[in-house]
Amino acid sequence: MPVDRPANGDEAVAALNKLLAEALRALGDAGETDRACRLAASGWALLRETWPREAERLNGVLHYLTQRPITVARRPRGTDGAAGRPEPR
Amino acid sequence: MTNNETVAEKIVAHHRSMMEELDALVDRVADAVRRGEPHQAAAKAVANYLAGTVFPHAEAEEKTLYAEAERRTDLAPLVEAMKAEHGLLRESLQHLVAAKDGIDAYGAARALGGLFRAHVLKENEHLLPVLVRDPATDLSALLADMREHLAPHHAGASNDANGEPSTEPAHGDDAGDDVELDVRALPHAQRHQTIFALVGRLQPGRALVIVNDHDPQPLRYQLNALFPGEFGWEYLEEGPDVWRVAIRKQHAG
Repeated sequence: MPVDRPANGDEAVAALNKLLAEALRALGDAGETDRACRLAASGWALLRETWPREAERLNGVLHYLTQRPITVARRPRGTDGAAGRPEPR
Repeated sequence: MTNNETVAEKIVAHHRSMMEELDALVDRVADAVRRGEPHQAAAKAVANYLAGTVFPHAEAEEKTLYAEAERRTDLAPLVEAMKAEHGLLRESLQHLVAAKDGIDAYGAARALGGLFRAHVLKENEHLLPVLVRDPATDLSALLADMREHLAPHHAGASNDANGEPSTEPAHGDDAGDDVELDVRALPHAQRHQTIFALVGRLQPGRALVIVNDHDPQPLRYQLNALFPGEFGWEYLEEGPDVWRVAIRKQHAG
C-alpha cells in the first residue's frame, strides 16, 4: 500500500492511527472482536488527552466493532485449557 | 409468549452477560500469565467484579427468586445447593486473593469462572423453567424486587453550580441513592466526557445509571481501559429501544 511520508510527529501519529484502525477492523472482522475492542479502547485511552481527533477515530472503530456480537476466536485446545467463548457480549 | 417467559428471557440474558464478563476477566489473567506479565491487576479485576457485581446479584436473588423457589418442595433442594454455591464462590474468591503467584491466581480465577458457569446453568435450565410454568409465580414482580435490592432508588441527575451534571442526589436526604443520567438528551460529542466526569466522582458502592438508545459497549471497553477493574457494569434494561446500565464504583480490595 503506498503511503505518504509524514511531515511531522502529528502526521505520523495520524498515519499510524489510520493503520491501527484498519488493523483493528480486520481483527474484528476475523472474529477476534473482543480483542480488537480492548486494543481500540487502550489506543483511545492513550490518545484522548493529546490527540483527541485521533482518539475519536478509535472511538469510531469501537462503535463499528460493537455493532455485532462480540466474539473471541477459538484458540487451539491446550493453550490455556479453555476454548474460545461463542459470541460473548 | 407469556409474561413470565418474557421476563425469564431477560434474566437468562443477564446471567449470560455476567458469565461472559467474568470469563473475559479470567481470560485477562490467563493472558498476563502467558506473557509473563504481572497478573495482579487482572486478578484484582476478577475479584472486584465478583465483589461489586456478582455477589450483590447473588444476595438479591437469595432474597427474591430463591425465596420464591424454595417454597416449592421440588425446588427447595436445588435452592439449598445453589445457596451453598454462593458460599463456594466466596471461598474461591479468597483463594484468588491469597494467590502466591500467577499460576495460583490463574487456577483460582479459572475455577471461579467454571463454578459460576455451572451455577448459572442450573439456574437458567432447572430453576427458572419451573418458576416460569408456575401460575402462582410472578417473575416480573420478583425481578422488580431484585432491582430494588440492587439499586434501591434511581434519582434523576441534577446540575451542579457550574451547570455540569452532578452526582449528588436530587434530594438532599437521599445520600445513598444512585444517579440516573439519560445520555440521549446530551449532544453526541459530550456524552462520553460527561459520563467519565460523573463516574470519576462516584464514591465506592455508588452507581451511575446511564440510559441510552443503543448498547453502550464502547463505553464499557473505554472504562476498562481507563480504570481497569474499578467499575462494575450491570444491565438493568437491554433494549430493543432503551438500554439502562448501572456503572458501579467498586469498593477497594
